[in-house]
Amino acid sequence: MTATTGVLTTATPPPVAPAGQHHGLAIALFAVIVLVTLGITLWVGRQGSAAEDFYAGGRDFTPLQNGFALSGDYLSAASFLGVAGLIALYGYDGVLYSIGFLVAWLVVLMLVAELVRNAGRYTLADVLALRLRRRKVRAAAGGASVVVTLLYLVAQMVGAGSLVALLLGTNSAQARTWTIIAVGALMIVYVTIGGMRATTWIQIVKAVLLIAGSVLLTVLLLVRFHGDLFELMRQAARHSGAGQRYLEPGLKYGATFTSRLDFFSLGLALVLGTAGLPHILSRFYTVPTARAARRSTMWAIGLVGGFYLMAIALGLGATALVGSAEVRHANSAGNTAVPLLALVLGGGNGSTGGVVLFALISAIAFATILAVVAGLTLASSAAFAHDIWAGAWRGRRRRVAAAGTHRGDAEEEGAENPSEQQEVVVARFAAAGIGAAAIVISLYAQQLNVAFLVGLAFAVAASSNLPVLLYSLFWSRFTARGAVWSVYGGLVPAIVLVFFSPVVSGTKVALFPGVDFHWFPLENPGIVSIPLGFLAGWIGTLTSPEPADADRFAELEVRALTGAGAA
Amino acid sequence: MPQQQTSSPGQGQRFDWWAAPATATASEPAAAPRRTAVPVQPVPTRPAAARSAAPEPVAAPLAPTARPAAPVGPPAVPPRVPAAAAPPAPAVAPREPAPPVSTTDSTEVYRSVQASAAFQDIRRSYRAFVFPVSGAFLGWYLLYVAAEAAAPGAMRSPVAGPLNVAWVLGLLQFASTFLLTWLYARNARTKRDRAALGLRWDTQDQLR
Repeated sequence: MTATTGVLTTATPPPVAPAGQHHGLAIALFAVIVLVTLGITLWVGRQGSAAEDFYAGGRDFTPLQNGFALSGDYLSAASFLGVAGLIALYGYDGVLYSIGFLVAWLVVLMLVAELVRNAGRYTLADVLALRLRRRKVRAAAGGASVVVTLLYLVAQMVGAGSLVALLLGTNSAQARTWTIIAVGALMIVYVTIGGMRATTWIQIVKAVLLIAGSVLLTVLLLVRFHGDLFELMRQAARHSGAGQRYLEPGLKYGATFTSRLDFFSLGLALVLGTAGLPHILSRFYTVPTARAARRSTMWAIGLVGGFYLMAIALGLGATALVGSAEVRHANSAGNTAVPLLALVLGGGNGSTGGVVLFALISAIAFATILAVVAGLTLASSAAFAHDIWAGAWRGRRRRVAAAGTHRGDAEEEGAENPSEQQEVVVARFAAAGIGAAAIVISLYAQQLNVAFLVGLAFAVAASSNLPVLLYSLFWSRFTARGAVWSVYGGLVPAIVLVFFSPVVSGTKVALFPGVDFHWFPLENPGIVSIPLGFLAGWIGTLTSPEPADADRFAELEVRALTGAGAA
Repeated sequence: MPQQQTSSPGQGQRFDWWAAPATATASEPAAAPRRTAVPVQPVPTRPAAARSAAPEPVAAPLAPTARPAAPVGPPAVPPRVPAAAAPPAPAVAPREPAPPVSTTDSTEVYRSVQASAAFQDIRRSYRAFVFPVSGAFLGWYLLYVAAEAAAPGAMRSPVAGPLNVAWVLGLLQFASTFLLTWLYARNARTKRDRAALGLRWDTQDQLR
């Protein structure tokens, strides 16, 4: 490789944005992935349709399987292509971004996973309902879960639209639209037919593909550089157009104090949001015990951490071998950095190896998208059917299968008694409805920045779900009013602040570029709304007319820490 | 590859509750005698089965109760039957012969268990580890992010080759995450798991 240090030049011959023959192979591989996942869905979907199967996959997955599924749920296309792309364009600031996603898992591991597994049955709200038996609590937590998953879902589908169109070489609006519709239709099929069991298997397949693809590319990259990571970094800096600044913080987030504060806000949302993501929490119910939940989280941490380390190398490699300018030229957000790197590592544009590798990586990205949207749709439909419909709206009595789980619910909650079968039927319809809603919203939200949407979903999860969860698990004096206040006290400010942020109005890239009614300077509301969520729960508890029910806290605590009576 | 080393922090043991090192210490709570059989057998006779006279394998009668409509495991990789099927057992224990426990009874059970020294020990060992460590890693992460924003100059100082302070701190975040994961798992395994399991059987017995 010749090394030029000139600004904005790339020393490597630019592997012109892919055109022509490799898309045929990519389309074929996409079709294979669709067929395989549909096969899994149909095969696994026959294995049971009870509530336990639909929501929790029968609870008989092993920690290893669930660890892969967790990382499959977590490593969205935004991670695979987005983080590597950010690193390719902004160097160290992209690394900074990836670390928050990893450290967040420690919160999940230590404070949430085991206790949630022991205390709940299908959803986040189950844990709250164990000690705060109020329909209002269930409705609030279920509603917040639906909002979080819907935001995340829209982010994934918008990303899917532009990404698949890009990978297939057509950047037309029509291709994006049809991709969104097709992805949405597929995810509805996965969830309504296969439930949690099929979704988990799809996640496992996807995670294995994703890790294998990353390992393959990383090995090829290291071979290319003879294992010299320092040389990789140096060459990346040379070809980044930014020189040494590429390896230093501040290329993306360092411009102004506001942008630094915005990054801090995003970091806070990332590290606290993961533990409040409904589709991550519901994964812990697919293993039999709390210890299995712990071990699956450990697998997930290992896989996610290893993946991000590889993503750093791949991002650097894309800059070193493709060049930042070329990456930006292909897609301004850098989303095609990894596929372009695959093209170069396979032998360059036009070579068989390059074409095959490009198609392979594109297909893995496609599998990633499909798996993540399926997991999100499932969590969303569970929150709707189990919490809002059955728990809060219809009211819910203890059933045979739940004996020992919701002891005493019958007196407090409603008179009607929807059976679990009814509930699952509702959940399947809800999955279809939520999927349809996500398709429609995504079609109208195509202009929104995907990374922003993901950051927002994390911020809402951290503001509305995490405070109420932590208070319920650890604070003996927490009351139902505190729970309701803390959910809405986090949810509402997060949404309101975003509405008055530069994302929605006032800038050229805003949702409504023509008008300007923004007064909140940050794009991510986390730094304000997360403390507000905690504060609202605290105030709500202090002002509660009735004291906390010590009996129920005793039940929650004993069950959460020992596993007694766990579903 | 990094994830190869880090992905099995738990010594690569198979998951099961029962394979814990058979070193039941005398200091453990009252359930010790009943758990003595546990570490020996892969498919344990859980205490309930032992008491209900028939020492038959537990997994068989349980499967229908636990997962009524799911007699078949997932395809391709069938669940490891002994390990995966045994743990749901306890969940079923309280509802088998179903002498309905009234609300007040179960409340009293939970209150008395919560007040017991064994439970207080479990809770103390859990919180004593988790609270300070969570504060530490959250503080360390937020300090790291704040330092990148507040002191970019210091972050630029070179350390080795192309690495500067910022890179070293970032890689240390990875390292500390893996390390804390391992420490937490070790702490839970050695300090909490056995006592919690014993208390679980005790509690469920009382709830019957």
